[in-house]
Amino acid sequence: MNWIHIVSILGAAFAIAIGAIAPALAQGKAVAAAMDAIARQPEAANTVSRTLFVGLAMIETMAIYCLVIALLLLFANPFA
Amino acid sequence: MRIDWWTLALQAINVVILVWLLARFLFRPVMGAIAARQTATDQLLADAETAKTAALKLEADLKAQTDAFAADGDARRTALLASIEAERSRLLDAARTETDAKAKLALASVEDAQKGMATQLEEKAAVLAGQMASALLHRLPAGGTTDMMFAALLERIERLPVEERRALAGDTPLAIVTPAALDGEAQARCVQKLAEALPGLAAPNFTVDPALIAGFELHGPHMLVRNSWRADLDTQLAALKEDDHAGLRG
Amino acid sequence: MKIASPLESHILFTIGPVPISQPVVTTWGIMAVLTIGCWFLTRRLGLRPTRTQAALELVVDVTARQIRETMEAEPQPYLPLIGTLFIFLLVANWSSLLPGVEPPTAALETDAALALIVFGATLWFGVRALGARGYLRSFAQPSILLAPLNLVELFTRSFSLMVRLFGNVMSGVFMIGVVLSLAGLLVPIPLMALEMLTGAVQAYIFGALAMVFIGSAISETNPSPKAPNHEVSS
Repeated sequence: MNWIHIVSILGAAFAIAIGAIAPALAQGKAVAAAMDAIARQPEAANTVSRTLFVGLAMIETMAIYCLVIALLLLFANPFA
Repeated sequence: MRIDWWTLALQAINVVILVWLLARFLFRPVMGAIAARQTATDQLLADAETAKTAALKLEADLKAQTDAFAADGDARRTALLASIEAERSRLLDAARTETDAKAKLALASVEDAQKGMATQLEEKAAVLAGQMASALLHRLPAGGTTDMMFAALLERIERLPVEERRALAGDTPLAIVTPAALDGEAQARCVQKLAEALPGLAAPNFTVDPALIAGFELHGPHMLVRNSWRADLDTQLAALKEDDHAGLRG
Repeated sequence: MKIASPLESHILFTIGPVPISQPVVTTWGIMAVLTIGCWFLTRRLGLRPTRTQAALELVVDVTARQIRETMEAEPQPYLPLIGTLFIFLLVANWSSLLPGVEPPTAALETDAALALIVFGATLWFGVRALGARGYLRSFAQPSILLAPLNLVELFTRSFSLMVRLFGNVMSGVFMIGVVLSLAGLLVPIPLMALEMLTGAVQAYIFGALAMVFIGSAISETNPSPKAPNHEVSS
């Protein structure tokens, strides 16, 4: 296990860690806004929740990108 | 990491084929079914619209017909009322006219009856007057009036034209009517005086008729010389009737 | 402990020079199931819909309405592509429920092929709607200075389309595999339920983004008329 492996593992861990923080905050804000909207307009709950799911999936994609990078570092490291 | 280009190409071809397959087996038939139902629905709606239009038109027609019937009925009722009114007024007029005529007629008949009654009364009064006159006359001595009345008869005969006197003389058998029976001497005197006035006189008969009250009359089969109170009363009565009739006509 | 790389796909066999990998075989199975199922279900369609026909019509009608609302165009030419993308992705993502089956969308090549098809469809429909010259001119909207950016976006959004789908499905499969190797039976079931939700949402998002891309290609004035949040995140 040379230093490239160590740096790769650390990089993957940090990528996941940091990449999870921002989407988590963003998802929290999105869900809060959606709850607010549903509370204001209960009759629009269907539309709001559908849009919320799509938005959450979009935000989730950011974390997925980080996960892909982490997996690339771990399993398909071009420098290893 | 390594991209497997064969897998990439195969998957792309697979997805394209799947698009074609699903278009062939799913989307086209289902869209066709939806379109067919849409067409059928449109057709049904159009049919329903047509039927509705027809029904509305029919309703309007029926309503117009009903209105026409109602108007016709109104007109007929009005006409009937008018004719009834006219008939009623005509009948009323006729009835009034008839009533007037009947009233007039009744009035006239009443007047006639009154007239008749008055005439009867007058006649009765005349008869009564004759009876009273004869009763009064009986208080006079018998023959008191006979001579005077005989003289009046003679005068009357003498005033007649010659032809009539001759006809009277030839009118046999001539009867001399008196209210009371005459004795033989008076009869002879009468016959003599008559023969003077009527030359060629056959021997007359003598007849008694108390109804004459007083006077002398000559009764022949064809001719009649009246000269008595009865005749006078009758004449007056006739004149009275004439007056009454003239008054009615007037 | 050695975990197999989720980024590699296994070659099952070769036909002549062509190596046939596992996702390709899974895709063939899905194709067969979908085709036979659709053929069976759409055999007799009538004016009076049966229960299955009503369900099929509901799916198709909802898809068509989504296309009409998102693209502001008649859905007829786009319905087979968009509908097939959605149905195929849904079935492929949920195929991991069958034991021993790995969803073909968990392989990067499948997602790349799908993104490539959307890319090609965007060009094809854009050129068909506006003409080659008109479609090229639409890159200069709203200003000629933005033309390189629009050109780059054309490729990056296809790339992000691919990576989003791949990352979501692959990470789900990978997570389930890890949890299964650590905890054993029955524990990954909640994760599988979450994976079903993710798969459905990703199928919808893929189809919606394809609609948005094609819709922006066929409308000259505004390159991205709908769903700006999609554009921002891509």
